[in-house]
Amino acid sequence: MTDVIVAKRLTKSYGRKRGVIDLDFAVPPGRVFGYLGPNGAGKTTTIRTMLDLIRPTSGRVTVFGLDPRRESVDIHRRIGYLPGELALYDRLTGGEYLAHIAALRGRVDPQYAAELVDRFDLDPTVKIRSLSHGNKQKVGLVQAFMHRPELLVLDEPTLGLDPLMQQAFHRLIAEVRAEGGTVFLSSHVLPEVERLCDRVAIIRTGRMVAVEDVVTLKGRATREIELRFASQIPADTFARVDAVDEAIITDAHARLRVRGSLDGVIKAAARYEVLDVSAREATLQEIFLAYYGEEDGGR
Amino acid sequence: MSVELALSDRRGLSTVWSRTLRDQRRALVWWAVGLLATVLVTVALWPTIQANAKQFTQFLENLPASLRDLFGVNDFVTPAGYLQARLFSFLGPILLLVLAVGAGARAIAGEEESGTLDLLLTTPIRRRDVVVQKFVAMLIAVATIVAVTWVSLVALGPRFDLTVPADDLAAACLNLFLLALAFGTIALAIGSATGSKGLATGASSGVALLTYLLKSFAPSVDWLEPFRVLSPFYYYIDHDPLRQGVNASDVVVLAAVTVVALVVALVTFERRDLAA
Repeated sequence: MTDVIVAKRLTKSYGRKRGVIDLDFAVPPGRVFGYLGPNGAGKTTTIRTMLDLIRPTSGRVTVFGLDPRRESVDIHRRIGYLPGELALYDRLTGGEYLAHIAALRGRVDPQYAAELVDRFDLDPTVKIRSLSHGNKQKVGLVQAFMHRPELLVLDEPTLGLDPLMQQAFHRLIAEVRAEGGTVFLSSHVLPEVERLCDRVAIIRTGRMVAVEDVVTLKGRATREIELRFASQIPADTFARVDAVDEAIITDAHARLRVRGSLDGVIKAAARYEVLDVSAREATLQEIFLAYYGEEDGGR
Repeated sequence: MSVELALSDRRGLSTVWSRTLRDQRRALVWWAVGLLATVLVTVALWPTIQANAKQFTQFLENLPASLRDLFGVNDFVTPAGYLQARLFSFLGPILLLVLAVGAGARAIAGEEESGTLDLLLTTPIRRRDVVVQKFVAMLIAVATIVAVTWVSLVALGPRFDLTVPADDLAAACLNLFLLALAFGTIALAIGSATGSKGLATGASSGVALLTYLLKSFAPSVDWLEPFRVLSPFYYYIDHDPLRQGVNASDVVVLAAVTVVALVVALVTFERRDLAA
Protein backbone atom coordinates (compact mmCIF):
# COMPACT_ATOMS: atom_id res chain seq x y z
CA MET A 1 0.00 0.00 0.00
CA THR A 2 1.16 3.51 -0.68
CA ASP A 3 2.19 5.81 2.11
CA VAL A 4 -0.45 8.13 3.53
CA ILE A 5 1.82 11.11 4.04
CA VAL A 6 5.02 11.66 2.08
CA ALA A 7 7.34 14.61 2.66
CA LYS A 8 10.17 15.24 0.22
CA ARG A 9 12.73 17.87 1.08
CA LEU A 10 9.90 19.81 2.68
CA THR A 11 11.10 23.28 3.62
CA LYS A 12 9.29 26.21 5.12
CA SER A 13 11.20 29.33 6.02
CA TYR A 14 9.83 32.38 7.75
CA GLY A 15 12.43 34.99 7.07
CA ARG A 16 14.73 34.98 10.06
CA LYS A 17 12.33 32.91 12.13
CA ARG A 18 13.02 29.21 12.05
CA GLY A 19 10.79 26.94 10.02
CA VAL A 20 11.56 23.43 8.84
CA ILE A 21 14.39 22.39 6.51
CA ASP A 22 14.58 19.48 4.04
CA LEU A 23 12.23 17.14 5.85
CA ASP A 24 11.95 13.63 4.38
CA PHE A 25 9.57 11.12 5.85
CA ALA A 26 6.76 8.78 4.92
CA VAL A 27 3.85 7.67 7.05
CA PRO A 28 2.68 4.17 6.10
CA PRO A 29 -1.02 3.35 6.29
CA GLY A 30 -2.45 1.76 9.39
CA ARG A 31 0.38 2.95 11.61
CA VAL A 32 0.67 5.37 14.46
CA PHE A 33 3.45 7.74 13.50
CA GLY A 34 5.02 9.76 16.27
CA TYR A 35 6.44 13.16 15.53
CA LEU A 36 8.69 14.01 18.36
CA GLY A 37 10.52 17.16 19.24
CA PRO A 38 10.74 19.94 21.76
CA ASN A 39 8.44 22.95 21.53
CA GLY A 40 9.46 25.22 18.68
CA ALA A 41 11.21 22.45 16.72
CA GLY A 42 8.84 22.82 13.74
CA LYS A 43 6.20 20.18 14.48
CA THR A 44 3.24 22.50 14.03
CA THR A 45 4.80 24.03 10.91
CA THR A 46 5.05 20.57 9.34
CA ILE A 47 1.46 19.78 10.18
CA ARG A 48 0.13 23.05 8.84
CA THR A 49 1.81 22.49 5.46
CA MET A 50 0.15 19.07 5.25
CA LEU A 51 -3.24 20.72 5.76
CA ASP A 52 -2.71 23.64 3.35
CA LEU A 53 -2.92 26.20 6.13
CA ILE A 54 0.55 27.31 5.04
CA ARG A 55 2.45 26.58 1.82
CA PRO A 56 5.95 25.11 1.65
CA THR A 57 8.82 27.35 0.56
CA SER A 58 10.32 24.41 -1.33
CA GLY A 59 10.00 20.67 -1.47
CA ARG A 60 6.62 19.05 -1.18
CA VAL A 61 4.31 17.04 0.97
CA THR A 62 1.45 14.86 -0.22
CA VAL A 63 -1.43 13.40 1.77
CA PHE A 64 -3.21 10.35 0.30
CA GLY A 65 -1.06 11.10 -2.75
CA LEU A 66 -2.90 14.44 -3.13
CA ASP A 67 -1.46 17.92 -3.31
CA PRO A 68 -2.61 20.00 -0.33
CA ARG A 69 -2.73 23.19 -2.39
CA ARG A 70 -4.85 21.93 -5.27
CA GLU A 71 -6.81 19.18 -3.54
CA SER A 72 -7.22 20.51 -0.03
CA VAL A 73 -10.95 19.80 0.15
CA ASP A 74 -10.42 16.14 -0.76
CA ILE A 75 -7.73 15.85 1.89
CA HIS A 76 -9.76 17.65 4.52
CA ARG A 77 -12.72 15.37 3.94
CA ARG A 78 -10.62 12.37 4.94
CA ILE A 79 -8.69 13.77 7.88
CA GLY A 80 -9.44 14.65 11.48
CA TYR A 81 -7.29 17.44 12.89
CA LEU A 82 -6.59 18.57 16.41
CA PRO A 83 -4.55 21.79 16.42
CA GLY A 84 -1.87 22.34 19.02
CA GLU A 85 -3.29 25.68 19.99
CA LEU A 86 -6.93 24.84 20.02
CA ALA A 87 -9.35 27.75 19.57
CA LEU A 88 -13.09 27.12 19.42
CA TYR A 89 -16.09 29.41 19.07
CA ASP A 90 -16.49 30.70 22.62
CA ARG A 91 -20.12 31.66 22.20
CA LEU A 92 -21.24 28.14 21.36
CA THR A 93 -21.66 25.25 23.76
CA GLY A 94 -19.55 22.15 23.21
CA GLY A 95 -22.55 20.39 21.69
CA GLU A 96 -23.32 23.31 19.38
CA TYR A 97 -19.72 23.46 18.25
CA LEU A 98 -19.75 19.76 17.42
CA ALA A 99 -23.07 20.16 15.60
CA HIS A 100 -21.59 23.03 13.57
CA ILE A 101 -18.46 21.15 12.56
CA ALA A 102 -20.53 18.03 11.85
CA ALA A 103 -22.79 20.09 9.56
CA LEU A 104 -19.78 21.52 7.69
CA ARG A 105 -18.22 18.07 7.37
CA GLY A 106 -21.32 16.08 6.55
CA ARG A 107 -21.31 12.31 6.94
CA VAL A 108 -20.87 12.37 10.72
CA ASP A 109 -22.51 9.49 12.55
CA PRO A 110 -24.35 11.24 15.42
CA GLN A 111 -24.42 8.01 17.38
CA TYR A 112 -20.64 7.77 17.34
CA ALA A 113 -20.24 11.47 18.13
CA ALA A 114 -22.51 11.07 21.15
CA GLU A 115 -20.56 7.99 22.23
CA LEU A 116 -17.31 9.97 22.11
CA VAL A 117 -18.87 12.77 24.14
CA ASP A 118 -19.82 10.20 26.78
CA ARG A 119 -16.43 8.51 26.72
CA PHE A 120 -14.63 11.76 27.33
CA ASP A 121 -17.15 12.66 29.99
CA LEU A 122 -17.85 15.97 28.30
CA ASP A 123 -20.85 18.11 29.21
CA PRO A 124 -22.00 19.41 25.80
CA THR A 125 -24.40 21.97 27.29
CA VAL A 126 -21.69 24.22 28.76
CA LYS A 127 -20.56 27.30 26.82
CA ILE A 128 -17.04 26.82 25.52
CA ARG A 129 -16.08 30.17 27.05
CA SER A 130 -16.53 28.65 30.52
CA LEU A 131 -14.83 25.32 29.82
CA SER A 132 -11.45 24.50 31.38
CA HIS A 133 -8.48 23.88 29.10
CA GLY A 134 -8.85 20.13 29.50
CA ASN A 135 -12.54 20.22 28.64
CA LYS A 136 -11.90 22.32 25.54
CA GLN A 137 -9.33 19.73 24.54
CA LYS A 138 -12.04 17.07 24.82
CA VAL A 139 -14.26 19.03 22.42
CA GLY A 140 -11.26 19.25 20.09
CA LEU A 141 -10.66 15.50 20.28
CA VAL A 142 -14.31 14.62 19.66
CA GLN A 143 -14.47 16.84 16.56
CA ALA A 144 -11.27 15.23 15.26
CA PHE A 145 -12.52 11.66 15.69
CA MET A 146 -16.27 11.93 15.16
CA HIS A 147 -16.34 11.38 11.39
CA ARG A 148 -14.06 8.35 11.64
CA PRO A 149 -11.38 9.86 9.41
CA GLU A 150 -8.83 7.73 7.55
CA LEU A 151 -6.04 9.90 8.90
CA LEU A 152 -5.84 11.65 12.23
CA VAL A 153 -3.45 14.56 12.56
CA LEU A 154 -3.06 15.33 16.23
CA ASP A 155 -0.84 18.13 17.50
CA GLU A 156 -0.03 17.60 21.18
CA PRO A 157 -3.32 15.76 21.79
CA THR A 158 -3.06 15.06 25.50
CA LEU A 159 -2.04 18.54 26.56
CA GLY A 160 -4.17 19.47 29.55
CA LEU A 161 -5.97 16.13 29.80
CA ASP A 162 -6.11 14.48 33.21
CA PRO A 163 -4.67 10.93 33.46
CA LEU A 164 -8.08 9.30 33.21
CA MET A 165 -8.86 11.11 29.97
CA GLN A 166 -5.39 10.35 28.65
CA GLN A 167 -6.27 6.69 29.09
CA ALA A 168 -9.55 7.22 27.26
CA PHE A 169 -7.53 8.84 24.48
CA HIS A 170 -5.03 5.96 24.37
CA ARG A 171 -7.89 3.46 24.07
CA LEU A 172 -9.33 5.49 21.22
CA ILE A 173 -6.01 5.46 19.37
CA ALA A 174 -5.80 1.69 19.86
CA GLU A 175 -9.29 1.32 18.34
CA VAL A 176 -8.43 3.51 15.38
CA ARG A 177 -5.32 1.45 14.76
CA ALA A 178 -7.30 -1.79 15.06
CA GLU A 179 -9.68 -0.50 12.39
CA GLY A 180 -6.78 0.29 10.07
CA GLY A 181 -6.70 4.04 10.58
CA THR A 182 -3.51 6.07 10.35
CA VAL A 183 -2.42 8.53 13.01
CA PHE A 184 0.14 11.31 12.83
CA LEU A 185 0.80 12.29 16.40
CA SER A 186 3.02 15.18 17.34
CA SER A 187 4.22 15.30 20.88
CA HIS A 188 6.99 16.37 23.17
CA VAL A 189 5.82 13.80 25.72
CA LEU A 190 8.10 10.81 25.22
CA PRO A 191 6.35 8.07 27.20
CA GLU A 192 3.22 8.82 25.22
CA VAL A 193 4.94 8.37 21.87
CA GLU A 194 6.71 5.29 23.17
CA ARG A 195 3.42 3.80 24.23
CA LEU A 196 1.27 4.71 21.24
CA CYS A 197 3.51 4.83 18.21
CA ASP A 198 4.94 2.24 15.83
CA ARG A 199 7.31 4.58 14.14
CA VAL A 200 8.78 7.85 15.20
CA ALA A 201 10.44 10.83 13.60
CA ILE A 202 12.56 13.03 15.77
CA ILE A 203 12.79 16.66 14.78
CA ARG A 204 14.95 19.32 16.21
CA THR A 205 15.38 22.98 15.24
CA GLY A 206 13.57 22.34 11.98
CA ARG A 207 15.64 19.36 10.90
CA MET A 208 14.88 15.66 10.98
CA VAL A 209 17.25 13.91 13.37
CA ALA A 210 15.95 10.35 12.93
CA VAL A 211 13.06 8.38 11.48
CA GLU A 212 12.82 4.86 12.80
CA ASP A 213 10.56 2.16 14.14
CA VAL A 214 10.17 2.54 17.86
CA VAL A 215 11.38 -1.06 18.30
CA THR A 216 14.57 -0.43 16.29
CA LEU A 217 15.21 2.76 18.10
CA LYS A 218 14.95 1.07 21.43
CA GLY A 219 17.09 -1.85 20.20
CA ARG A 220 19.83 0.52 19.16
CA ALA A 221 19.74 2.34 22.41
CA THR A 222 21.90 1.56 25.36
CA ARG A 223 20.54 -0.45 28.25
CA GLU A 224 21.63 -0.37 31.82
CA ILE A 225 22.56 -3.76 33.31
CA GLU A 226 23.30 -4.39 36.96
CA LEU A 227 24.97 -7.55 38.12
CA ARG A 228 25.57 -8.74 41.64
CA PHE A 229 28.21 -11.43 42.19
CA ALA A 230 28.94 -13.79 45.09
CA SER A 231 32.44 -12.36 45.48
CA GLN A 232 34.67 -9.63 44.21
CA ILE A 233 35.37 -9.69 40.45
CA PRO A 234 38.35 -8.28 38.52
CA ALA A 235 37.97 -4.70 37.34
CA ASP A 236 38.66 -5.74 33.74
CA THR A 237 36.01 -8.46 33.60
CA PHE A 238 34.04 -6.68 30.87
CA ALA A 239 36.92 -4.79 29.28
CA ARG A 240 36.98 -6.96 26.19
CA VAL A 241 33.26 -7.01 25.56
CA ASP A 242 32.56 -4.72 22.58
CA ALA A 243 28.94 -4.07 23.47
CA VAL A 244 29.85 -2.49 26.80
CA ASP A 245 30.16 1.26 26.59
CA GLU A 246 30.86 1.85 30.20
CA ALA A 247 31.49 -0.41 33.20
CA ILE A 248 31.58 0.63 36.83
CA ILE A 249 32.78 -2.21 39.02
CA THR A 250 32.85 -1.95 42.78
CA ASP A 251 33.77 -5.17 44.63
CA ALA A 252 31.06 -7.70 43.79
CA HIS A 253 28.82 -5.27 41.96
CA ALA A 254 28.85 -4.19 38.29
CA ARG A 255 26.88 -1.50 36.58
CA LEU A 256 27.15 -1.58 32.77
CA ARG A 257 25.89 0.44 29.88
CA VAL A 258 25.36 -1.94 27.00
CA ARG A 259 24.57 -1.30 23.36
CA GLY A 260 23.11 -4.09 21.22
CA SER A 261 23.42 -7.78 22.08
CA LEU A 262 23.86 -8.92 25.68
CA ASP A 263 25.59 -12.14 24.69
CA GLY A 264 29.17 -11.03 25.41
CA VAL A 265 28.15 -9.61 28.77
CA ILE A 266 26.40 -12.80 29.87
CA LYS A 267 29.35 -14.98 28.78
CA ALA A 268 31.87 -12.79 30.55
CA ALA A 269 29.77 -12.72 33.72
CA ALA A 270 29.22 -16.49 33.69
CA ARG A 271 32.83 -17.09 34.70
CA TYR A 272 31.81 -15.92 38.18
CA GLU A 273 28.93 -16.78 40.44
CA VAL A 274 26.08 -14.43 39.54
CA LEU A 275 23.57 -13.72 42.30
CA ASP A 276 21.34 -11.26 40.51
CA VAL A 277 20.87 -9.56 37.15
CA SER A 278 18.65 -6.61 36.43
CA ALA A 279 18.26 -4.85 33.10
CA ARG A 280 16.47 -1.64 32.45
CA GLU A 281 15.40 -0.82 28.95
CA ALA A 282 16.17 2.66 27.76
CA THR A 283 13.20 4.97 27.59
CA LEU A 284 12.73 7.23 24.61
CA GLN A 285 13.63 10.02 26.97
CA GLU A 286 17.16 8.69 27.09
CA ILE A 287 17.19 7.95 23.37
CA PHE A 288 15.97 11.43 22.73
CA LEU A 289 18.64 12.96 24.92
CA ALA A 290 21.23 10.73 23.31
CA TYR A 291 20.29 12.05 19.87
CA TYR A 292 20.42 15.59 21.06
CA GLY A 293 23.52 14.97 23.10
CA GLU A 294 25.44 14.00 19.97
CA GLU A 295 25.37 17.59 18.91
CA ASP A 296 25.41 19.75 21.95
CA GLY A 297 25.67 17.53 25.00
CA GLY A 298 22.02 17.52 25.90
CA ARG A 299 19.49 20.26 26.10
CA MET B 1 -27.77 10.33 20.18
CA SER B 2 -27.28 11.48 23.73
CA VAL B 3 -29.99 13.63 25.25
CA GLU B 4 -27.75 16.67 25.70
CA LEU B 5 -26.54 16.69 22.12
CA ALA B 6 -30.05 16.24 20.78
CA LEU B 7 -31.39 19.08 22.91
CA SER B 8 -28.76 21.65 22.03
CA ASP B 9 -29.96 24.59 19.97
CA ARG B 10 -28.94 23.91 16.41
CA ARG B 11 -30.41 26.93 14.70
CA GLY B 12 -27.91 28.72 12.53
CA LEU B 13 -25.24 26.06 12.91
CA SER B 14 -25.48 24.42 9.51
CA THR B 15 -23.42 26.97 7.56
CA VAL B 16 -20.59 29.44 8.12
CA TRP B 17 -22.69 32.50 7.23
CA SER B 18 -25.55 31.57 9.54
CA ARG B 19 -23.20 30.77 12.41
CA THR B 20 -21.48 34.12 11.93
CA LEU B 21 -24.84 35.91 12.18
CA ARG B 22 -25.83 33.73 15.14
CA ASP B 23 -22.73 34.92 16.99
CA GLN B 24 -23.80 38.51 16.32
CA ARG B 25 -27.47 38.13 17.05
CA ARG B 26 -27.48 40.00 20.40
CA ALA B 27 -25.32 42.78 19.03
CA LEU B 28 -27.59 43.10 16.00
CA VAL B 29 -30.66 43.47 18.21
CA TRP B 30 -28.92 46.37 19.97
CA TRP B 31 -27.93 47.89 16.64
CA ALA B 32 -31.57 47.73 15.53
CA VAL B 33 -32.73 49.34 18.78
CA GLY B 34 -30.03 52.00 18.42
CA LEU B 35 -30.99 52.95 14.87
CA LEU B 36 -34.68 52.96 15.79
CA ALA B 37 -33.92 55.33 18.69
CA THR B 38 -31.76 57.53 16.46
CA VAL B 39 -34.57 57.84 13.93
CA LEU B 40 -37.10 58.50 16.69
CA VAL B 41 -35.05 61.31 18.23
CA THR B 42 -34.40 62.79 14.78
CA VAL B 43 -38.01 62.90 13.64
CA ALA B 44 -39.29 63.94 17.09
CA LEU B 45 -37.18 67.10 16.90
CA TRP B 46 -38.65 68.06 13.53
CA PRO B 47 -41.69 69.99 14.86
CA THR B 48 -39.41 72.21 16.96
CA ILE B 49 -37.08 72.89 14.03
CA GLN B 50 -40.00 73.63 11.75
CA ALA B 51 -41.50 76.06 14.26
CA ASN B 52 -38.23 77.99 14.41
CA ALA B 53 -37.37 77.68 10.75
CA LYS B 54 -36.50 81.34 10.35
CA GLN B 55 -33.90 81.44 13.12
CA PHE B 56 -32.28 78.22 11.91
CA THR B 57 -32.02 79.50 8.39
CA GLN B 58 -30.40 82.69 9.64
CA PHE B 59 -28.02 80.71 11.81
CA LEU B 60 -27.01 78.53 8.88
CA GLU B 61 -26.44 81.48 6.61
CA ASN B 62 -23.99 82.90 9.13
CA LEU B 63 -21.90 79.71 9.14
CA PRO B 64 -18.93 79.46 6.78
CA ALA B 65 -19.81 77.48 3.66
CA SER B 66 -17.07 74.92 4.27
CA LEU B 67 -18.47 74.09 7.70
CA ARG B 68 -21.94 73.64 6.22
CA ASP B 69 -20.45 71.33 3.61
CA LEU B 70 -18.57 69.33 6.21
CA PHE B 71 -21.74 68.36 8.00
CA GLY B 72 -23.89 68.36 4.92
CA VAL B 73 -26.13 71.00 6.42
CA ASN B 74 -27.50 73.31 3.76
CA ASP B 75 -31.20 73.14 4.05
CA PHE B 76 -32.70 72.61 7.45
CA VAL B 77 -36.27 73.56 6.80
CA THR B 78 -37.68 71.14 4.26
CA PRO B 79 -38.34 67.55 5.41
CA ALA B 80 -35.83 66.11 2.91
CA GLY B 81 -33.20 68.73 3.73
CA TYR B 82 -33.66 68.20 7.45
CA LEU B 83 -33.33 64.40 7.19
CA GLN B 84 -30.30 64.72 4.96
CA ALA B 85 -28.63 67.12 7.38
CA ARG B 86 -29.51 65.28 10.56
CA LEU B 87 -29.35 61.66 9.49
CA PHE B 88 -28.08 60.85 6.03
CA SER B 89 -25.03 63.04 5.59
CA PHE B 90 -23.22 62.25 8.80
CA LEU B 91 -24.73 60.21 11.63
CA GLY B 92 -26.27 57.47 9.49
CA PRO B 93 -23.11 56.72 7.47
CA ILE B 94 -20.97 56.77 10.61
CA LEU B 95 -23.18 54.27 12.42
CA LEU B 96 -23.56 51.93 9.46
CA LEU B 97 -19.86 52.13 8.60
CA VAL B 98 -18.94 51.19 12.15
CA LEU B 99 -21.24 48.17 11.88
CA ALA B 100 -20.03 47.11 8.43
CA VAL B 101 -16.29 47.73 8.97
CA GLY B 102 -16.46 45.83 12.25
CA ALA B 103 -18.15 42.88 10.59
CA GLY B 104 -15.78 42.99 7.62
CA ALA B 105 -12.65 43.15 9.78
CA ARG B 106 -13.82 40.30 12.01
CA ALA B 107 -14.91 38.12 9.10
CA ILE B 108 -11.54 36.55 8.25
CA ALA B 109 -8.92 38.45 10.26
CA GLY B 110 -10.93 38.21 13.48
CA GLU B 111 -11.26 34.44 13.19
CA GLU B 112 -7.62 34.17 12.20
CA GLU B 113 -6.44 36.18 15.20
CA SER B 114 -8.58 34.20 17.61
CA GLY B 115 -7.27 30.97 16.04
CA THR B 116 -10.65 29.49 15.11
CA LEU B 117 -9.90 29.70 11.39
CA ASP B 118 -7.58 26.66 11.48
CA LEU B 119 -10.31 24.19 12.30
CA LEU B 120 -12.83 25.90 10.04
CA LEU B 121 -10.49 25.63 7.05
CA THR B 122 -9.63 21.99 7.70
CA THR B 123 -13.25 21.01 7.21
CA PRO B 124 -14.06 20.21 3.57
CA ILE B 125 -14.77 23.83 2.64
CA ARG B 126 -12.78 25.90 0.19
CA ARG B 127 -11.17 29.11 1.32
CA ARG B 128 -13.11 31.14 -1.20
CA ASP B 129 -16.38 29.71 0.07
CA VAL B 130 -15.54 30.87 3.57
CA VAL B 131 -14.86 34.38 2.25
CA VAL B 132 -18.12 34.43 0.28
CA GLN B 133 -20.13 33.16 3.24
CA LYS B 134 -18.56 35.74 5.54
CA PHE B 135 -19.43 38.41 2.98
CA VAL B 136 -23.02 37.18 2.85
CA ALA B 137 -23.26 37.33 6.66
CA MET B 138 -22.02 40.93 6.62
CA LEU B 139 -24.39 41.84 3.80
CA ILE B 140 -27.37 40.44 5.70
CA ALA B 141 -26.38 42.24 8.92
CA VAL B 142 -25.98 45.61 7.17
CA ALA B 143 -29.15 45.15 5.09
CA THR B 144 -31.15 44.30 8.20
CA ILE B 145 -30.06 47.38 10.11
CA VAL B 146 -30.62 49.66 7.09
CA ALA B 147 -34.07 48.10 6.64
CA VAL B 148 -34.85 48.84 10.29
CA THR B 149 -33.82 52.46 9.63
CA TRP B 150 -36.07 52.73 6.58
CA VAL B 151 -39.08 51.15 8.33
CA SER B 152 -38.56 53.46 11.34
CA LEU B 153 -38.48 56.52 9.08
CA VAL B 154 -41.57 55.48 7.13
CA ALA B 155 -43.50 54.54 10.27
CA LEU B 156 -42.43 57.32 12.63
CA GLY B 157 -41.88 60.31 10.31
CA PRO B 158 -45.54 61.11 9.58
CA ARG B 159 -46.37 61.04 13.30
CA PHE B 160 -44.17 64.11 13.68
CA ASP B 161 -45.30 65.66 10.46
CA LEU B 162 -42.03 64.75 8.73
CA THR B 163 -43.14 63.36 5.40
CA VAL B 164 -40.70 62.24 2.72
CA PRO B 165 -42.04 59.80 0.09
CA ALA B 166 -41.26 56.19 1.07
CA ASP B 167 -39.57 55.50 -2.26
CA ASP B 168 -37.22 58.47 -1.86
CA LEU B 169 -36.42 57.26 1.64
CA ALA B 170 -35.78 53.85 0.14
CA ALA B 171 -33.42 55.37 -2.43
CA ALA B 172 -31.43 57.10 0.32
CA CYS B 173 -31.39 53.89 2.40
CA LEU B 174 -30.26 51.86 -0.62
CA ASN B 175 -27.32 54.23 -1.03
CA LEU B 176 -26.60 53.98 2.69
CA PHE B 177 -26.60 50.19 2.43
CA LEU B 178 -24.31 50.18 -0.60
CA LEU B 179 -21.93 52.69 0.97
CA ALA B 180 -21.63 50.71 4.21
CA LEU B 181 -21.27 47.43 2.31
CA ALA B 182 -18.48 48.91 0.17
CA PHE B 183 -16.41 49.94 3.18
CA GLY B 184 -17.27 46.71 5.01
CA THR B 185 -15.98 44.74 2.03
CA ILE B 186 -12.83 46.87 1.90
CA ALA B 187 -12.25 45.91 5.55
CA LEU B 188 -12.95 42.26 4.66
CA ALA B 189 -10.40 42.47 1.84
CA ILE B 190 -7.68 44.03 3.99
CA GLY B 191 -8.35 41.45 6.69
CA SER B 192 -8.26 38.61 4.15
CA ALA B 193 -5.01 39.89 2.65
CA THR B 194 -3.17 40.56 5.90
CA GLY B 195 -4.88 38.63 8.70
CA SER B 196 -4.80 41.73 10.88
CA LYS B 197 -8.09 42.90 12.30
CA GLY B 198 -6.56 46.14 13.55
CA LEU B 199 -5.15 46.99 10.14
CA ALA B 200 -8.43 46.07 8.45
CA THR B 201 -10.40 48.33 10.78
CA GLY B 202 -7.90 51.17 10.82
CA ALA B 203 -7.10 51.32 7.11
CA SER B 204 -10.70 51.09 5.95
CA SER B 205 -11.80 53.68 8.51
CA GLY B 206 -8.97 55.91 7.35
CA VAL B 207 -10.04 55.58 3.71
CA ALA B 208 -13.62 56.36 4.76
CA LEU B 209 -12.54 59.49 6.64
CA LEU B 210 -10.33 60.78 3.82
CA THR B 211 -12.91 60.18 1.12
CA TYR B 212 -15.58 61.78 3.31
CA LEU B 213 -13.43 64.89 3.73
CA LEU B 214 -12.67 64.87 0.00
CA LYS B 215 -16.36 64.81 -0.87
CA SER B 216 -17.13 67.50 1.73
CA PHE B 217 -14.45 70.01 0.77
CA ALA B 218 -14.28 69.40 -2.96
CA PRO B 219 -17.19 71.76 -3.76
CA SER B 220 -15.46 74.71 -2.04
CA VAL B 221 -11.80 74.00 -2.89
CA ASP B 222 -11.06 74.50 -6.57
CA TRP B 223 -8.15 72.14 -7.02
CA LEU B 224 -9.98 69.35 -5.14
CA GLU B 225 -13.11 69.66 -7.19
CA PRO B 226 -12.15 67.23 -10.01
CA PHE B 227 -11.17 64.56 -7.46
CA ARG B 228 -14.50 64.29 -5.74
CA VAL B 229 -15.56 61.51 -8.15
CA LEU B 230 -12.99 59.36 -6.33
CA SER B 231 -15.03 59.49 -3.14
CA PRO B 232 -17.70 56.83 -2.55
CA PHE B 233 -19.54 59.48 -0.52
CA TYR B 234 -20.01 61.51 -3.71
CA TYR B 235 -22.04 58.67 -5.23
CA TYR B 236 -23.76 58.11 -1.94
CA ILE B 237 -25.34 61.54 -1.50
CA ASP B 238 -24.39 64.17 -4.06
CA HIS B 239 -27.28 63.37 -6.38
CA ASP B 240 -29.72 63.99 -3.58
CA PRO B 241 -31.53 60.64 -3.32
CA LEU B 242 -34.01 62.02 -0.80
CA ARG B 243 -35.43 64.26 -3.53
CA GLN B 244 -34.25 62.66 -6.78
CA GLY B 245 -34.75 59.00 -5.92
CA VAL B 246 -32.48 56.22 -7.18
CA ASN B 247 -29.61 57.19 -9.45
CA ALA B 248 -28.63 54.09 -11.38
CA SER B 249 -25.03 55.09 -12.07
CA ASP B 250 -24.42 55.85 -8.37
CA VAL B 251 -25.76 52.41 -7.47
CA VAL B 252 -23.53 50.79 -10.06
CA VAL B 253 -20.39 52.62 -8.88
CA LEU B 254 -20.98 51.80 -5.20
CA ALA B 255 -21.74 48.16 -6.01
CA ALA B 256 -18.62 48.00 -8.19
CA VAL B 257 -16.44 49.08 -5.24
CA THR B 258 -17.88 46.18 -3.27
CA VAL B 259 -17.34 43.70 -6.09
CA VAL B 260 -13.73 44.76 -6.63
CA ALA B 261 -13.01 44.56 -2.90
CA LEU B 262 -14.59 41.11 -2.72
CA VAL B 263 -12.47 39.87 -5.61
CA VAL B 264 -9.36 41.23 -3.90
CA ALA B 265 -10.40 39.37 -0.73
CA LEU B 266 -10.91 36.10 -2.62
CA VAL B 267 -7.63 36.28 -4.52
CA THR B 268 -5.39 37.37 -1.65
CA PHE B 269 -6.86 34.94 0.87
CA GLU B 270 -6.42 32.01 -1.50
CA ARG B 271 -2.67 32.62 -1.83
CA ARG B 272 -1.68 33.35 1.69
CA ASP B 273 -0.24 31.47 4.66
CA LEU B 274 -2.51 31.60 7.67
CA ALA B 275 -1.11 32.88 10.93
CA ALA B 276 -0.59 30.15 13.50
